[in-house]
Amino acid sequence: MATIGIGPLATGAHVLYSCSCKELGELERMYFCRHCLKLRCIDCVSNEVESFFCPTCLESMPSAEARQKRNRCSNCLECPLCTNTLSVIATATDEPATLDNDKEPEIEQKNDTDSKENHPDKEDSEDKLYYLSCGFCRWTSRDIGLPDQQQSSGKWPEVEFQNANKVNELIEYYRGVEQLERAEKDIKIHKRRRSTYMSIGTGKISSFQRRSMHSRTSNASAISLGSFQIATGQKPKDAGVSQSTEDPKRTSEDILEVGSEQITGLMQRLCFPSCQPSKVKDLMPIRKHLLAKKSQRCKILIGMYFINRQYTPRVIITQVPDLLFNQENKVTLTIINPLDASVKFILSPLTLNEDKPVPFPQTAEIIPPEKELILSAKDDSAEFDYSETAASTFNDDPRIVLARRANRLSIYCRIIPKKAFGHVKCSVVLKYDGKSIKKGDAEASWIEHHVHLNLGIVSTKHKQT
Amino acid sequence: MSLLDNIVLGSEKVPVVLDIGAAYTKCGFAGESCPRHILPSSVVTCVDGKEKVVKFIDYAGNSQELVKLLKRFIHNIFFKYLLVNPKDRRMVIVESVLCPNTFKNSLAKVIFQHFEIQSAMFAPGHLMGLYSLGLTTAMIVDCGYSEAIVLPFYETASLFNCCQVSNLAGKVINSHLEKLLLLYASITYGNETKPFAAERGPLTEDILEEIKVKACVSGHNPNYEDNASESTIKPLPAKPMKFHLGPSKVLTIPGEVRDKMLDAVFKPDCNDISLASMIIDCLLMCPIDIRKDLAASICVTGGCAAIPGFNWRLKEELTVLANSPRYKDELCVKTFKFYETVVHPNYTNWLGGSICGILENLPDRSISRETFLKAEYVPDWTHSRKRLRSVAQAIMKKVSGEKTPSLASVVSKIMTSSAKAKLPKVAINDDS
Ligand SMILES: [Zn+2]
Ligand SMILES: [Zn+2]
Ligand SMILES: [Zn+2]
Ligand SMILES: [Zn+2]
Repeated sequence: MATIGIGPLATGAHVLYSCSCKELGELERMYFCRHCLKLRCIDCVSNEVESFFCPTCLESMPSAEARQKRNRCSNCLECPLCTNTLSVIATATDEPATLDNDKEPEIEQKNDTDSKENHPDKEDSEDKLYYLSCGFCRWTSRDIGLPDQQQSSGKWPEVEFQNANKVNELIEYYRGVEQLERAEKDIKIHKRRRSTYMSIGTGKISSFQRRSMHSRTSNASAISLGSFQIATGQKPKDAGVSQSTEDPKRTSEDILEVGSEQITGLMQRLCFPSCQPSKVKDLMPIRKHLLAKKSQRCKILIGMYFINRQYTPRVIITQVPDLLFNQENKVTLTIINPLDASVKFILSPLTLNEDKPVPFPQTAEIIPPEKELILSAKDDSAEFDYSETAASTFNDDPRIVLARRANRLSIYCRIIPKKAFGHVKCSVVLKYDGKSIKKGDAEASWIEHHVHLNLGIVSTKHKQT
Repeated sequence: MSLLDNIVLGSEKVPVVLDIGAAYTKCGFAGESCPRHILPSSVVTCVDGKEKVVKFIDYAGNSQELVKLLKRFIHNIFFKYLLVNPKDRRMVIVESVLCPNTFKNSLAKVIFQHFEIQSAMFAPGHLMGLYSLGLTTAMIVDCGYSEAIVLPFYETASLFNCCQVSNLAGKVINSHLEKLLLLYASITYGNETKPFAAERGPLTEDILEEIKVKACVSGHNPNYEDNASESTIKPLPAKPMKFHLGPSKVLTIPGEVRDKMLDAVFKPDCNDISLASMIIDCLLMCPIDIRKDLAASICVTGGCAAIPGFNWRLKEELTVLANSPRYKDELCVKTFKFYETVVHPNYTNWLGGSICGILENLPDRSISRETFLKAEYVPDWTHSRKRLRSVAQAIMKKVSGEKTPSLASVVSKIMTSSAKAKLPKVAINDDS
């Protein structure tokens, strides 16, 4: 019997599932609601962050700690050049620091000078020292002159933001302005303020500007910018965090001289939003960003049930011959059962409804084997069982079934392309019994999904036949 | 989790600050000094089984498609980058002063209907730029990827009528760079060197952007040759730069090309306007006695301002232009002064939003979910913005038949003429 492939086909053939909201998506992007017994796309699902974990070391982190550490893992570090995970390398202290000299000619010169600075004679030569190294691009923490650490989980320095103080000053300044504003409102000055508004967009120059042309003492001005109102009693003062200059800086000579390898690219800079270093030597190891574990709930049903993905048999396209226009072509589909119970299923053509056009325009007719078939339960231990005895117990019809292994079943479908060019697209209804999903329901409730197949481009060979 | 939230931060959730730029999006939390992440303003979607990067800027008009893309994008912002729940959270959305209404309303629909946020403050980018400097009077020149917009503020009032708009920004520099490479660059395979024009490998926008980021400088004085008497600063030569385009394929960019890149915005080929002339035209539209103050507080924000020596070049250009016969008598401004941004210039506007996000009056400045769901649109903070857009678009359509329709000159001219026409009509609305 033929083997069952599961990899994607090179032809670009792919399968989409329908959400009840008419949106289409790959099964990976769909969720199954156990209560509606329907597939839900990302739009019909509400997400909630549940917990945090590091994708590299898989360690989970409580939310308070994650917030404090700005969603970054305290153990794992990434290469600032290529974002590959860095490994910690142990060395004896007397080992020369420039290991990669022969491989990295650009960094070599720097390394020579750096290593002399950072590796003066070490007293306790017994101890091991640690540095960071990227196995992919060969960047090391020594390239940027970081001293080696005494512990493998060393406290590697992080990029510091120089101007954080100034930002805090700004925030204080605007809090002050806001307080002033509120005080002014509360006091309610007797004489009505000569409040003037500049109307934006009418092409008028307001009295505010006129007055400021004659005298600079505008005692009160409230300027509206839509929902923005900055009202101040006095002439507004600046926060004083920035100074203007008549002589802005010219490009510094060190930028004009260096080669492109010593200047960072845009994505490398953006990994450090605060300072965005322009020189490679200023890059620091990046702390690995955490991922969130999310819970998904169905938006359609009031009551918000948690939902899961593991309930829908997956249909994949495993073998496609040259698809000849207006002829029957034998295509192999494989259906995989994700449930730990055996499931009856049947494929049937999707009957087109004139009122509700299919969101997936059909260019071919599909003739599935309209026969009830059985998918075995998913059994992780059976994955490696290569005996094909199962086939005989199920008494599969070789005209329909190509192969059966564990929870997988490969079947033939006949496809008749109805368009002489472009993608061959058709849809089927996948009906399966939901007994094992909806327990307690005595009647075998059938679950229906619309499955859309794109089998790739129709063959041009039909002209010769 | 909710219990811990309460212990750490009180019951109030920290507002999320989002600045969706034409090329890059800045996202983070209010009160923080820098965004948590800066990421491309695009999403990866699946078209006919193939992955494709889709930029929002290409979908500005198609609101249905835009809503779909934005849903994915905002989902990633919350669940992949910021790792917080959007529900019942306040947001500050920093937007371009010329942000199309379709974009704004599509975004509002996504955040209010789909993500159920509590409220959103739509903050104009230039005003946020002003906030990030702690100034009340400044000429904010926002030079990002697709547009350069000059908007002056005088004692916190935005002089919107004097606003100047052009496309003299990052994208124009990239296409100018491509032209320069075809003229001057060479390509080397092993021992063989050819002019780049002969090879003409496909240079994507991403590669051009990368070359610009690494190579673009402004060390050379552009007016040195033309006006040797007026300017005495000698050019600083930049070294040629090499880029690996593939295995054993090296692109060499001569030093002068590195300098000439900025000509795209300072000396455009087919334009009589430049970034410098936009600033001067803007000053000319302002009342004469505030011009000096504005000229003494120019601040360039946006990604282009990060190019080394950008302000220096701008100052040189402004000085020459201000003394030219075209402007000399009219302008009455001799000196130009520049503010350096407090933070990296590509997130100044975000920083302004971050500051607004922790002020107590945030709810008053925001539109709530209830209000939006009733009205189904976000009120525009100025009508003139809409008008400006439509005028610009109408003219663009007219001109597009002709060769090289330059948005820059067109928009600028329209605005100059319409504003000049209106200037004499001074209305007094002093209410006492
Ligand atoms: Zn449901
Ligand atoms: Zn849906
Ligand atoms: Zn980790
Ligand atoms: Zn690396």
